[in-house]
Amino acid sequence: MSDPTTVPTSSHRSRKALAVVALLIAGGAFGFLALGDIGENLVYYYSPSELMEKREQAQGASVRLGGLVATSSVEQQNSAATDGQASQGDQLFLRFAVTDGTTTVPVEARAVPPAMFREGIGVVVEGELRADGVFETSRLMVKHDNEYRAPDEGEEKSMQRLLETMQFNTSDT
Amino acid sequence: MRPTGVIVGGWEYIIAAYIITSVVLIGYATSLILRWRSSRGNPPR
Amino acid sequence: MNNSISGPSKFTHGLGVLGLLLLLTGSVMGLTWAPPEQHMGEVSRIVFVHVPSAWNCLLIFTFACGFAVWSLWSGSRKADSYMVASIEVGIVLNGLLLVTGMLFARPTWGIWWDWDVRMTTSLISLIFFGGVLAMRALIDDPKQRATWSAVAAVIGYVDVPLIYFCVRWWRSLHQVQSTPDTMSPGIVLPMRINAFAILFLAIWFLSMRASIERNRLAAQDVDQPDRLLEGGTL
Repeated sequence: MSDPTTVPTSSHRSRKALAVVALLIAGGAFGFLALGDIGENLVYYYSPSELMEKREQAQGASVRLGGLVATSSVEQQNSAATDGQASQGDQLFLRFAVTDGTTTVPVEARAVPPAMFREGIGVVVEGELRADGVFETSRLMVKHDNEYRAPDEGEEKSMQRLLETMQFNTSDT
Repeated sequence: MRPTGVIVGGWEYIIAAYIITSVVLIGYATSLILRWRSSRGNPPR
Repeated sequence: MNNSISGPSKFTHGLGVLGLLLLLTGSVMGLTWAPPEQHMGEVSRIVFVHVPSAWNCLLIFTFACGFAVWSLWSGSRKADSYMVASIEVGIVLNGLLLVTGMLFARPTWGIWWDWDVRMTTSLISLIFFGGVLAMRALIDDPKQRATWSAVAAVIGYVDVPLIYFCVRWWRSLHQVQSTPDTMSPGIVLPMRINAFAILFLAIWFLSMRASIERNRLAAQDVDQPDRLLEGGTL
C-alpha cells in the first residue's frame, strides 16, 4: 500500500517541478533530433551516386538503394506475373536501372515488381552490389510521390520534380 | 512487355481497410458505452 | 457521491452522432464518387480512412500531452481523466492508421511493412502509449498514478511530432505530406469530411472515456472515504 502523504511527489510543488522537467526532457530530445546531425546516421537508402562512392564498403553487405527507374531501362524477363508475392526464390524477373540524374546503377530483381512499377517512378531496392557493378535485389519497393490525381489530370513531370520524390537532399550535409 | 504502372482492382484491400475501420470504431464505442454503464452503476455497498 | 455521475453533455452526444453521419457520407463518397487515382487506381480509396485516422491520432496524442501538463500543474482529477481518455483514443486511432497503412502499402509499395522512419515512429507511439496505460494499471494510488503517467506521457510525446516531421527530415519509403495542391479536389473533399467525422467521433470517445475514469474514482472515494481527507477532492 502506498501512502500518498509520505511521498514527496504528491505535493503540489514537486509535481509542478516534474512538469517542467518532463517538458525540458521532451523539448530537449525534440530539439536534438530536429537540429542534430543524426540524419547522417539514419540513411534509409543510398542514392546511386552515394553507393558508387562507397563501393568498397558496400560490396557484400545488404544495403538499400533508392532512385528513379531509368528511362528505357526496363527489361522484363518473366511476364507470367505482374504482382504476386515479393521475393519468389531465385527466379530473375526483371532488369532495370536506378538513377539519381548523375549516376545510374543496373539492377537485377528476383522479385515480382509492384503494379505501380514503371519508368520514372521512385523505387527502393534492398540487396547487394555485386563485384560486376550490378545491384542484385529480391526486395523491390515502390516509392511514390505525394500526388493524388484523377486519371484525366495526368501531366508529364520534369526530371527535377521526379527526383524530389527521392529526398536526396535531406541527408546532404 | 512493359509494366503499365497502374494498379488494377485491389478491392480486397479497400474492403478490408473499411471493414476494419468500422469494426474498430463501433467496437470501441460499444466498449465505452458498456464501461460507462458499469462505472455509473457501482451501487454504494 | 453517486449524484455526481459524469457523462457527456447533450452537445457532445450530438457531435458523436454528427461524426457518425459524416463518416458514412465521406466513406460512401470516397468509395463511389471520388475518382480513382491515375496510378494507384481504386486502391487509392484507402486514403479516406488512413489519412483521417492518422491526422486525428497525432492531434489526440497532442491533447494527451496538454492534459498531462495540466494534470501535473493542477493535480486536477478532470485533467487526469482526460489524459487517460486521450491516450486510449489515440491508441485506437494509432492502431487503425497502422493497419490501414499496411493494407495501403501492400498493393502500392509492394510490401506490408518496412522499417522506414515513418512506420517505425508510428509503431513506437503505439507501443509507448500502450506502455503508459499498462503502467497506470499497475499503480493503485490515484495521485501517484496521475503524476507518473503524466510524466511518461509528456516525455513520450516527443515521438508524435517526429511522426509528422520525419518524412521531411529523413529519407523514407513513405512520401511527404500531400497538400490540396498535389491532390485532385475529388480526393480532397471526402478526406476532409472523414477527417472532421473522426474528430467529432473522437471528441465523443474522449468525453465518454474521461467520464468513466471520473465515475470510477468517485466510486473509489465512496469505498475508501479516507482518501478524500488526505487531500483535495478534485
